[in-house]
Amino acid sequence: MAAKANESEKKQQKGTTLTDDLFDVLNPNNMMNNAQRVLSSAVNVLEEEIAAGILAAKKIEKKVIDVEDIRDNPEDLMNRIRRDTHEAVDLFMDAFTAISKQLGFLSTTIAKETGNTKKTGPAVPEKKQENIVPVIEGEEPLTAGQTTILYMSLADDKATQPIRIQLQKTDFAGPAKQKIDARCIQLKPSSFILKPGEEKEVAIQIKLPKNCSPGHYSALITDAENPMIKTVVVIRVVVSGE
Amino acid sequence: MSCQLSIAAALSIHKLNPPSFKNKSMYQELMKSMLAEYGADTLKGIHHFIPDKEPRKYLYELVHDYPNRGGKGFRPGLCIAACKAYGGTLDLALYSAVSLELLHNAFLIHDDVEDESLYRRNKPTMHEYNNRAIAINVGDAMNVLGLYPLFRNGEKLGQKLSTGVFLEIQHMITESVEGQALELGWRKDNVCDLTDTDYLRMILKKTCWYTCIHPLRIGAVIGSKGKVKPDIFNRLGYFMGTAFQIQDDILNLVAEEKKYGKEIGGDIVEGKRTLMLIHLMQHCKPDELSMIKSFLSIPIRERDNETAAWILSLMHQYGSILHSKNTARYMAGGALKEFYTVFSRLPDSKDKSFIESIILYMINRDY
Repeated sequence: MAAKANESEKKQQKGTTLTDDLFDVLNPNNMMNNAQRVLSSAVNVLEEEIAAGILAAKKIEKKVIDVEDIRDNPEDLMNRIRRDTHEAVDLFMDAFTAISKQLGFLSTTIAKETGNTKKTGPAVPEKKQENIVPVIEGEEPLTAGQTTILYMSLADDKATQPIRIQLQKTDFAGPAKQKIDARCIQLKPSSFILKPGEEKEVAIQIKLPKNCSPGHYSALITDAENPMIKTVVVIRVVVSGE
Repeated sequence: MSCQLSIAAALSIHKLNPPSFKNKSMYQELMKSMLAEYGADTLKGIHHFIPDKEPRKYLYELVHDYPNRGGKGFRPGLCIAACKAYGGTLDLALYSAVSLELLHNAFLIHDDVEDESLYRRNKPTMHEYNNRAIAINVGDAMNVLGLYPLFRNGEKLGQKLSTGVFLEIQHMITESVEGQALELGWRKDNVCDLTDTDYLRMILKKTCWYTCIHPLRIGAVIGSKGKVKPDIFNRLGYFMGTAFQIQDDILNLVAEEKKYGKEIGGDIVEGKRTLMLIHLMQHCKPDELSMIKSFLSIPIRERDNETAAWILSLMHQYGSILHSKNTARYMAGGALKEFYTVFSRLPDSKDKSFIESIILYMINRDY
């Protein structure tokens, strides 16, 4: 004990600090590799256990839905409604896409049978189709950070003179109020003159942000002048490797 | 996945931000005085929540016993200090601290029964001076008593925050019993081929969540009124808890019995899978491992002290004690780095220094 006290006094006389003492005790040069290995192993264990805990909690959450508890918590209830509504909208959109395709097929068939060569493009400003909003959906799911290009074509067979098209777009709306900013969508060209009988192809370039969450997202593309020209763009974002 | 931690990083931060203490005695004094202060506040709260009614002799009087023996009080200390460091008050964290300590003492009573331990804090364990059935029942009562302060948290913290604290405690207890099951299973099946990683997993679940991680998380969440993300304390609490447990296990083998408060070498007799035992079983000769295995396969009460002393000597011989001391220091070094990362954004305070002092104490601990 006395020896230790003397040692401490000597250190103080030398002007060494507690930080120096810590360096002496930890002896960093010799133990660095071992420490790194032990801490790395510990961190791996911690992260594995946390991941396992999250997975187990999710499984329980799916098994147990306490209706009374959900009713008592308006915020949770709203979140649940939003989530469920979004899933319902996804299903609706899938059904809607299928119906639209079917309708497109039928109208093409009718046009062929009647000898009518009128184009049935996705965004034709025709009164008969005013209740149908065409849906453009990418065939492959996307991952965060990925860029894709979808195409749509515009035509107006009834027009007798050129019309000016000025396309505008909304944010993508996704799961749980998630949004992807409209700036991630590039329309090329976004403004042009459509001549009578002309069909114009527009490229919709979507560049997903790196932090966007998985789920279905929908955005609306409209013409600033003509509200009848509108289309919904739907994309599905998945976790990389899914 | 690569590990971002390094002792060098901890020390380089340390160089830039010298600790608030000029010498060892300064932080040791601060640590002891604040542990005592918060421990006393918590004990007062515990007494408040124990009913003053019958049955006294075989229940409520016994509920006071373990808390009155005066443990280290790390859990309530960390909880209250984290709360205050994040801008809260003692009053806001007190019910949670009381709950933590009641649940901890309930664990200890049951743990002593499960391990067939003889002493706890320099006195006979509850099942030894009473009987196993009474001790188990007292432990059950303490578990239940530990829930009521959490309910009362609603008055001080509001519904959202108190629900958050409740879920923290629920996770804490779940992890602890899972960790205990892991180790009890190893002992029952006499598993002798464990690795350091197995130990780290077991100790994370059995000790770290409830000794350090959750007390820090709960305190900080309360103090910040739910603004802080509790996950930032996971590594800090894990490293602290592991360093603490390994050092406690070393003390069980090398400390003076009176100073330590438990029977020395009791862990060897109990067959507790400490880092020292795991290291020894990995490094000793096959015939020695065979003898250790056969010693651990017989009932605890039939295990003799001579063989336990021989196993201890092997631990010295094969460097198992030194290996464990080093591992504890690495963990404490990692904890120090995490502490500076997490707490450097907060203004200096006595409570912040107190948490730092616990880590510094671990790094410099004498055995």
